[in-house]
Amino acid sequence: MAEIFSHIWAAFPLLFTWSTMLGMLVGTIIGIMVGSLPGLSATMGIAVLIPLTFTMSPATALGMMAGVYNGAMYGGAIPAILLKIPGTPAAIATIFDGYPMAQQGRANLALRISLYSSVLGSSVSALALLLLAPPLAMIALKFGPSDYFWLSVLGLMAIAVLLSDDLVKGLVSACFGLFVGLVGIDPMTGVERFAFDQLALLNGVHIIVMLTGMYAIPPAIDLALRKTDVSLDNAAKVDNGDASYRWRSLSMVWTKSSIIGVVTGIIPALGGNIAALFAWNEQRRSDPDKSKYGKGAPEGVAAAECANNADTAATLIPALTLGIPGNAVAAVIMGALLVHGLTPGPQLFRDDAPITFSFILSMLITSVMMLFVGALGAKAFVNVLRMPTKLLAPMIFVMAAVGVYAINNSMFEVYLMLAFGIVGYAMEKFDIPTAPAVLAVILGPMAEENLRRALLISDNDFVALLTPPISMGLVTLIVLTACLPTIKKLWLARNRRKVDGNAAG
Amino acid sequence: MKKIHIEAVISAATVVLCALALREAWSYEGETGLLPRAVLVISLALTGLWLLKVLVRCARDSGQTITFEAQGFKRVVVLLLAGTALMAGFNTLGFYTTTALVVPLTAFGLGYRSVKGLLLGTLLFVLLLVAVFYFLLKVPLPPELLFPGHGG
Repeated sequence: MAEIFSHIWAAFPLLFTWSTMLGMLVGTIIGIMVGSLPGLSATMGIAVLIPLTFTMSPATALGMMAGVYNGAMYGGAIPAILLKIPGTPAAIATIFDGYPMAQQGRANLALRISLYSSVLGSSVSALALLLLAPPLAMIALKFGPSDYFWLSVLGLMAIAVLLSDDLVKGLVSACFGLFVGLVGIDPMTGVERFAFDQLALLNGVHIIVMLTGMYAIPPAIDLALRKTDVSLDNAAKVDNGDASYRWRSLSMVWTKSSIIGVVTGIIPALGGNIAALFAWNEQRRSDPDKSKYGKGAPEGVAAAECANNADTAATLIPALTLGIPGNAVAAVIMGALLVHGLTPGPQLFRDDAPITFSFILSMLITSVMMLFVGALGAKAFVNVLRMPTKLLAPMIFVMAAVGVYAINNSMFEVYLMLAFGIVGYAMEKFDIPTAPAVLAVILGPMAEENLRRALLISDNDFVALLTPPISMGLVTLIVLTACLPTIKKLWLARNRRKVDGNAAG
Repeated sequence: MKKIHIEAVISAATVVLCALALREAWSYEGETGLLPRAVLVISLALTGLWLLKVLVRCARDSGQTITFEAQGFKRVVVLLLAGTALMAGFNTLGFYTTTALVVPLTAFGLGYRSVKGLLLGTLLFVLLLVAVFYFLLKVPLPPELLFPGHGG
């Protein structure tokens, strides 16, 4: 604990500078705006922002991204409550009670509940990251090369299985990402792989090119092809609000939902939307008056919003400590760390402790900033929904292109980014998840490096990959994860037979 | 046209690409080729399985039918032209000039008709780009046609 405090103290000079504080504030405002626009997401916002932060200090750049991430998770609640359209997938559960509240003339109360719940959830999540990540990193430092190899395989398998309804498509996506990660010069032997004599490919495919292509371009295409813009004609009016609401009645809701959000965030492949749904369901299940849920229960809004924000920093725990991103946002943030010269993994807490803790504290500070920005600008953020998507779409293209060009002054990378964008769009349309591909680009090189190191140590004995106890445990988890879809199908079929049997009887 | 038929073509093309990439990977010697060969053998098997599943669904004639509306098709063409114009323009006209031309034309082509919105939105956006990339980040960009001496 003393070590954590000393690292926090060392992070203060990086954190409390004008540029970093301004970066966090700007990031929070941008995040709320991005989150409140249906079709855009925190992943997209951060992917477009990363190239713009190259010349900033790591603390400022990461602080800005923390602001975008937290802000977007709250911003998604605004159209969810006013228009019954989730701004981000994580705001789906907010609609259940938020929209009915707005229809009953309590839009301002719903927005305030979602704001305070989001702030609380984000703060708890940041504290969880601060307290849980360092000890986990210390444990992870004991992992050997074969353990890291199997950990990468487990991360890929978990994402491919849990993020798609079709295991084959999930694994195809992961293989695509692994292939992209292989392009370039082999770092151990210096041999060119899949570069086809193209100079531009010798250094491999920059992670930001793929991230920006796959996460910024498809939403822009969707916005451009949308038939009509979101209309505010039927939006609920933001009234002056319910000044006498008993906020203390939400304390238990916030406590339970924060825990649900943090635990969900730590598990790979579960995102804010799952956390919010779990929390809303649990709140309804545990309330004696279940009938009020779905009809404008403030507790329903509080549970959903607190949980989806409690998921944010917790998602980064496996990413920062083990180098295993659990979802697309974590993968994008890992890309940002790599771009700023920080290698995610347990060594981050040993070799770059001040900047790492500065980033973790940014997650906490931007949660608090969200309180002031959201409270002051609630009505202004509603007007973000008036932005014409047909004008916004080409602007996103341009921002993405300029951002990618800024990396290496290479038009080839801009073309590559657009190609990834088209591939990403096609993948979405054919229900092939893109997250496994992006995660594989990060995990693939790590898996290869550790596999080859392990084989070097064991003199090319493949059996040695399975002998360490941690490796054996991880392989067991991999096999279980691969069998999950089959286990789930068998379990559902058995339950259906039971229900049919009971009905017949 | 059924979506499943398009998926069949895409999955078949993916199988062919995996086979070609595997042929390339087979030429890599020693440990350099270890992971490429493993990944591409697995990819070939998976894409083959994907193709098989799609062909079975085609035989059952199941799935969603895609209908192409004239407006939707027009928007796709506008996007493709805009993308091409952006790529061609960035190197020849410069980023800011290309943006000032292509963004409002693309928005107009996609159906946004407010002239005031187009002009004001484009102006503010270009000013934002200049402020961020030229003054703040000082990113060297290709030379501008309309503003010689700027862009880098």
